[in-house]
Amino acid sequence: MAATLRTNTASAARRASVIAVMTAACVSTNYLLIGVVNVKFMDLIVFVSGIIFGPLVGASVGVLTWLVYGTLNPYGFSLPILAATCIGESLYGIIGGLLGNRPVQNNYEKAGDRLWFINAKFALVGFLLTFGYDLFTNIVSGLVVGIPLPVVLISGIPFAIAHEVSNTAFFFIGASPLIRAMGRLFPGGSV
Amino acid sequence: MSGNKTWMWVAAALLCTTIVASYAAINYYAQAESYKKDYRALIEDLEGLTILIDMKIDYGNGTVLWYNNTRVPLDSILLTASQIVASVDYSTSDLGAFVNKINGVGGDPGTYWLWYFWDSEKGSWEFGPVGCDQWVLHNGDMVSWTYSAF
Repeated sequence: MAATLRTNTASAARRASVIAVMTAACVSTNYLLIGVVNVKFMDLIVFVSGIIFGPLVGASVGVLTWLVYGTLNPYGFSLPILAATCIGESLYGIIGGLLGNRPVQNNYEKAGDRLWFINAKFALVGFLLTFGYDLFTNIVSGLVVGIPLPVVLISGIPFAIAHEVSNTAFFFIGASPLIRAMGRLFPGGSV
Repeated sequence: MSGNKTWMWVAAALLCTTIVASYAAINYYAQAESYKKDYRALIEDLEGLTILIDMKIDYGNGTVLWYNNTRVPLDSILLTASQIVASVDYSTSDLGAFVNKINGVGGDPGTYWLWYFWDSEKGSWEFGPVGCDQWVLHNGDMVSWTYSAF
């Protein structure tokens, strides 16, 4: 009984520390790239958090990141948009968690697929997730500001393209190495 | 099963390229419409500051060129308008400007560049009554340069 309690407490503490560390990584890289609109490592980190630690941790990292970054943001604060970005960002973690095998020592390498094909899969998932995120947040922004949706969607295309293309590249290049590195740091995966 | 998965990823890749292509198409279409709108607004502004004229240049050797709907500044004189459509070599005197060559044609003995205007009431070309630097053009005017023996 005592052993179980200790294990649960340790697991909860570990989960909290993982969420804090990953959130810190997201927030710091966001501020680092604040001058580059819509090009961020956050989405990749949230996605990998979901893959390694499960959908709950992934979603938590996404939501917490936006609670900090969306509140202390030089571009301004809007509660409905903050809610939309929190929901949208959490999808990266949730989908990552649903896709993830909780790899121990990276079973992506053991899957038999070539690495470039695995990376291409990550890139496709990253692109589609980003497309959904942009669509959702643009619609919410349009509704909040009161601009007709077609205008918002069309005027947001250059930013959406920057976001989606950069994320596709980041997911292609960064997902596998990050999963491998995180898998080594946290053997056993899900916390 | 593996084949199905492969096709699923191929379909996903095609979906991504379709999204990007659609984005690009919509974006460029919106940009084109924006440029068209700007162009129309600019033309509207220009219409308040410019006039449209038709100009004929008869080189006297069978070559006749028309410059229809030529946009020239408001209150332009014929000389200025001619310089817009052609390279004009002219000299000035107390009598006004005298055109020596248009687009390099001119200077033959006893042959000169003369200008005419279209009299819509008479329905005929009328000889220019003043020098080309004193004839103020109006919207819809039709003028002619003819290289002819005089």
